[in-house]
This record gives sequence, structure tokens and C-alpha cells, in this order.
Amino acid sequence: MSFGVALGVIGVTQGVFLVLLLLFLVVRRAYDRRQRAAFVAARGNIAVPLRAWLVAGAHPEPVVRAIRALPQGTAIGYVSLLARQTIPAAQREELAASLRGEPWIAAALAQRSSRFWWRRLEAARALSLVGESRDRAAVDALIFDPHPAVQVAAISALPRVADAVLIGSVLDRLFRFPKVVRQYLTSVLRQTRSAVGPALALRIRHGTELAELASWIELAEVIDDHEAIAAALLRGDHPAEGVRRAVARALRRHPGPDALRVLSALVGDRAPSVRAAAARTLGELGATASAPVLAPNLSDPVWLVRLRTAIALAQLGERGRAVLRAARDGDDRFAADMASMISGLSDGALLELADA
Amino acid sequence: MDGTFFLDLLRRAISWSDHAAIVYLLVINTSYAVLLLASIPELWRHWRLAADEHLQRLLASDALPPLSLMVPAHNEEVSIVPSVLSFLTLEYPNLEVIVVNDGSSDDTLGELMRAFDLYEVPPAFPVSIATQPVRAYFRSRLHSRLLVLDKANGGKADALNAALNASRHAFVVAVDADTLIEPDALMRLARPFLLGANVAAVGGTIRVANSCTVEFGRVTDARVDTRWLVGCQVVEYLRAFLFGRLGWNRLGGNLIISGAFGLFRKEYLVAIKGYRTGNVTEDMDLVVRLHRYLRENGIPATLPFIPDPVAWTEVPTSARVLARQRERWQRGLIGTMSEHRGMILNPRYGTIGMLAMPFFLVCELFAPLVEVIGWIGLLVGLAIGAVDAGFAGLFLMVAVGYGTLLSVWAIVLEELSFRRYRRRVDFWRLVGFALIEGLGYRQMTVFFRLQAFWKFSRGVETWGKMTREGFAPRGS
Repeated sequence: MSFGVALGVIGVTQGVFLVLLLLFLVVRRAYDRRQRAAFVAARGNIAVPLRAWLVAGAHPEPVVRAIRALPQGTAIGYVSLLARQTIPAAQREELAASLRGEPWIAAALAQRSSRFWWRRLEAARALSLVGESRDRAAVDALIFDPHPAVQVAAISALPRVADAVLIGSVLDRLFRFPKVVRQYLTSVLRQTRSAVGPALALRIRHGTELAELASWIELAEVIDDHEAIAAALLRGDHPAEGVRRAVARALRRHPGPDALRVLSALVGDRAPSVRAAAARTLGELGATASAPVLAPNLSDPVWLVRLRTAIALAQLGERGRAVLRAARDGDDRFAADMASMISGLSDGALLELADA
Repeated sequence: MDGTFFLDLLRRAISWSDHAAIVYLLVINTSYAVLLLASIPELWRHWRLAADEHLQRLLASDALPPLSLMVPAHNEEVSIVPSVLSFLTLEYPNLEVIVVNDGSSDDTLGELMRAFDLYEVPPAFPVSIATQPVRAYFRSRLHSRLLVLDKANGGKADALNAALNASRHAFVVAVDADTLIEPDALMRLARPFLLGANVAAVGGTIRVANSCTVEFGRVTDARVDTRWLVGCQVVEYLRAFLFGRLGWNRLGGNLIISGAFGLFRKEYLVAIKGYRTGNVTEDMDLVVRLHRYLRENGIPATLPFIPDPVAWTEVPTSARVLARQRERWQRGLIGTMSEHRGMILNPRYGTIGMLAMPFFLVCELFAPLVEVIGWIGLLVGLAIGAVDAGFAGLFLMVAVGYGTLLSVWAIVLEELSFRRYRRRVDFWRLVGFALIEGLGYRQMTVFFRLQAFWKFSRGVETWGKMTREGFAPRGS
């Protein structure tokens, strides 16, 4: 090939590519605009039948028809949105039954084992509204999918299909989930508290693995299950720092003499994170009687403990403020510095800092 | 030996150097094309994640780790109050903002004192990195999440180290005082941590804010500036972030997390003694040292770049300021490569040592030298007949045409994913700037970067004055 020919080939190739790219950009813009307009129109078409079904109790078929008119991905997204709405159980079941027979739902469910995560995501989203007890194995598999987005979508289906075995399986692997998934799972488990509580209490009482135990106690705190938190109370002397810290945090849901006794002991814990957590909980509980117990921790060698203690004292009203004033005028420089920093905050700013 | 012999020798030398320059440019542009191809699956993955509304809502939940936002400020009296207010009102549940007044000679501190009702507090913080003396610490009576440090001038790196010392949380975000962060950008930036990845740092996208509508410290309408110099930088930033850094993500060798917007795990920053003062591109130096630390200690943490968290920054509008900026960036690159030369082609440092650093050395550091030799050779060669018009055309195609194709590709990626520029006129401006960027703008920046070799050899460590126009509020 001569130099001139090579030059021509390169030039023509670059030119063709450039023209193709520009054409693609223009066509894509126009296509997107049309798609968006169609989407807005289709979405608008759902509003009327949806209202008729939700408010006037009409048949769900027009809703299903309107959703069917959306592109499949959007339709599945809309289904998962409906799954998260507060809809009376009977109506929800009615809609689920109508949707279950739809070919596009069947197509989405068939993707549950796809090697592409976004297809498995569609299956999990569809299950969040139309899932039945026969789908338990599929939900179980999707909850433990490697992709967090799929996990989150599958967790939405949990209340529809969960039984004791599935809940036990989820609790036993709770600590393995990424943080955001665990957070969402917790909020879903709160909806099935009556089934989760006893299983959780049993595990907190007899659990031995540190990571599992700490995450169970955190779950008990978040779902605010009395039986499970009462079980946590007994683990306040656990050898693992993470467990004692979780107990100190969880007891803010359990105001009472038992909790104050355990927290007062944890204020003097050997681990700084536990001392800080216990001080924080005492402040949140407004346990005024704990001011003398907290006072020595203003001189704690660890900055975080001093900070949490000072905030807690400020939250305890006049008794705590008196301790802070005494520390500010005292000889201990660390205690005086922290006390003067916290004393200068307005009530709003203190509240904000306490939450941080 | 007569004059003809020397002329012939010169012709041969020029012809040879031009051929070498063509091969070099071909290698560079092909490397970028590889990065582009590598960035496509990455962009697809992030776009799918960013489009999942449910997950996005969850990512905005209480699961988010607490963050300390570090804001170094030097002579920012005009913009510091709205900037800090915009940081304090970011959509992030657990955020503290640490502003460091780095020895400003104007009234930056006074503005902060008045606007936020600051009161002095004792230095109740553990100091783990040595910095210039901190004169005072202030807290706000209005916003408990705000902490202001007043210290002797020590430069941006020193100010960031002071903020690092005072930060309370396990994750820190470094931002420039004049950076406009999108309201949900921090939540997006924290996504890898929430999804369970073992991450040491995360970088987000920087876009050009010139000509955008800014209201209360937020970009509310993204526009492409009509000025050639700024418009070319818009395309340049798109290219650098959308496929440069995403491509390196895929290959596992991200070397830069922008100093204007990056999230770091504090324990690793403290372990490497924070930012290094005296380096003019402290961000690249920090990331290379971080990679080095992680590798040498067998810590399997990554430093990904994610494209959807966006911060906006003002870029230079005059050639003089652009020259200072590009010269400084190049000088920083030379300094960092020279400092860490032991990592280059060292298998101990994995992809960073074997791929990313050699790439930066060959395709970034030496690029201005080779390109200038190529251009000068081409002009002289044409004048003395050492190269013909056909060869000049080939050179243009490789040096300019290939680069233009890549720029247009960057716009395709932008259109397929995030599409911030909604107006048709802005889209066409982008395309127009992509087509003309290779003729004039690129050669100009090559010339600016070339000066860095001279200044580096003379040990210059100054930043140079960066003047800015500021963000015009809507309607002004």
C-alpha cells in the first residue's frame, strides 16, 4: 500500500467515523425527546385509573393496562414503586393477581437467574409486588445476590413471602450485607416485627459470634423490639467491645432502672468507644441522676469520650450544666476546654451536635 | 563537506523526528482510545446504579457515614460566606464543615465571624500532622456543624492538614472554597462505601461552571460558555473525566482524585502524614503516595472514580491565567513522577506501577516535548522540503483528527449518560468546540506545559496568581 493510499484510508476512516458520531448524536437527541414525550404521556395516563382503583375501588385492569403501555423497564420500575406505597392489603393482592398473568411480568420474572445484574434487578422488582409463597426460593436467592441493588429490590418482596425459615436465614447472614442494604433490610424487618422479634431475641441470648451478635443488637434497637432489647441488656458484660458498644446504643430504646444500671457501668468501660456510646445514650435518655457518674469522664484521656460526655451533661439540664460550669473553672485543662466549648453552644446547635 | 550535505542531514533529521512524532501521537491517541473503550462498561454500570431511584433514596438514608468537609480558604472575603452556606446546606445528614482561614490578608475571617456568629473555643483536638501554627479555633453559635480555624499561611496542603487534624469523622472530603457542589453530590460520592466496597478514596467529576446560572451557591442551569478558551476547556474536562478517569477505573490505576472534590478515608491520610506541602499539585502527589502506602502494606483498598457526583469550578478565562495553571499542573506531574520514579515499572505496585505511571510518564509528561518537536519539525520540514504535503496531512490527521474524534466520543458518552447540557444550543456549542479544540487550543496548552520543564529544573515552587471572574448570580 502506498503512502498516499494509507493517507486516504486514514482520512476517510476518520471522516466517516466523525460523521457517524455526529449523526448518532443528532438522532439520539431526537429519539430521546420523542421517548420522553411518550413516557410523560403514558405516565399521565396511569393517574386517572390509579385514582379510580385506589379511591373508588374500581377494577385494577385499567391500571394494569396503563402500566403495560409503558416501556418494560419503566413499567417494572413503576410496579416496584407501587410495592412501596401504602395500599390496603386486599387491593394490593388484587393488583398483584392481575399483574401476575401479564406476559411482561412473566418475562421479567424469568430473568431471576440472568448473568446480568440489571435483569435480575427487574425480576426482584417484579417480585416486590407480585411475589407469592411459591417464589420464596427465588426471593431467598435474590436477597443474597452479589449486587446490592438486586438485594435491596428483593428485600422489598420479603414481607410478601417471608416465613420463619426465610427470616432466620436473613438474620443469620445480616452482618454480611453492605451497610446500605442492612439499613433497608432493617426498615423492612420492622414491618414484620412480630415474626422477627422472638427469632432475634433467641439469637441475642445465645449468639456467640461477635459480628452477628453486634448486628442483631443494632437491629433490635432499630426495630425497637422490647423482647430483643431486653435480651441485649444481659449482654452488657460481653468481652467484645463491639457488642458492649451496641448494647450501650440499644438501651436508648429501653428507659428504665435496669438500663441505667447497665449504662452507668458502661460509662466506666475499658473501651473508649463504649464509654462514649454510654454517655451519649444517657444524654439522650435525659437521665439526670447520672450526672455524677458522667462527671469524671470529662477528664477522660480520649477526646471523643470527653466530647460525648460534655454533650450528654449539657442535655441533662441544670444538674449537668452545673457539672460543666465546675469543670470549666477547674484545674483540668482537657475538661475545662471541652466544657467551655460545649457551654458556648445554643440549644439548637447542641441538638445538632448531639445528633452528629 | 558542503552546505548541501548539512541541509540533507537536516532534512533527514527532521523527517525522522516527524515520523517518530507521528508514531508517538498515534500511540498516545490509541492509548486514549483504549481508555475510552474501557470507560464504556464503567459508565454503563454507574449510570444504571445512578438511575435506580429506589437505591438512590436509600443511599440518602441514615446509613451514610459521617463526613468532615475540609475547606481551605485564602483571601476569599468576597465569596466565603455564600460558599460556606452552600456547604452547610448540602443534602447530607451527618456533615461537619471545617473552614481553614490560611493566613488571609483580607477580611475572610471577619466575614465568617460576623455571618456565623463565631466564638473562640479551646483547641480540643488531637493533632496528628504538623502544620503552621493555628492561631485560634472558632465554633458557630448558629451552626454547630461549622468549625473555623485561623492559622498562619502555609499553603493549601498545610491548610488541609490542619483541617484533617481537627476533623472528627472517619471520612473527609477536600473541596476548594470556590467549588460549587451539587446538593446530592456527597451522597453519591459515598456510594462505594455504602455498597460494601473496600475503598480508600473516591473521586467525583469536576465540570466547568463559567456561564452557568448560579443561585445560592448552586448551579441551577448548566450552560456552555461561548468563549473559545472556556468552551475548549469544557470539552477537555468532559474528556478527562468521562473517559480518562473512568477508563483508568476499569484498568485499576486511577492516579488523580481532584483536589477540588475528593473523599478520603481519614486513617489512610493520617498514615501517610496528610498532604505534602511544597508540592504544586498536592492532589496527584497524595493519590500516588496513597497507592504506594496501600500496596506496601498489603491493604486491598481501591481508589475509584465515580462519574455522577458533580462539583462545578470556574476555569481560567484568559490565556495568561490558563498558562499559569497548565504550567503548574505539568510541573506537579514532573515533580510527582520524579519523586516516585521507583514505582515506575515496578511489579510490586501492580497496575499503578506497571501501567498507570508509565502511561502518565510517556503520554502525559513527555507529550508536550514530543508534540512541539513534531510541530516545529513539520513547519521547518515543509519550508526546506524535508516533508511533503501528504506527510503534513498525515501528521494533522494523527495529531488533530484522532484527538477530535476522541473529543466527540466524550460528548457521545455525556449524551448517553448524564446529559447535563439540556439546551440544543449548548449541545451544538459542545460539538463545535470539540471540532476546533485540536486547532490552536491544544497547541497553546502544549506550549504552556513546555515551560514547566524549565521552571522545574530551576526549582520553582510557586503557584502563580489565579484570578477569577466569580459566579454571577441570576439576572445580573
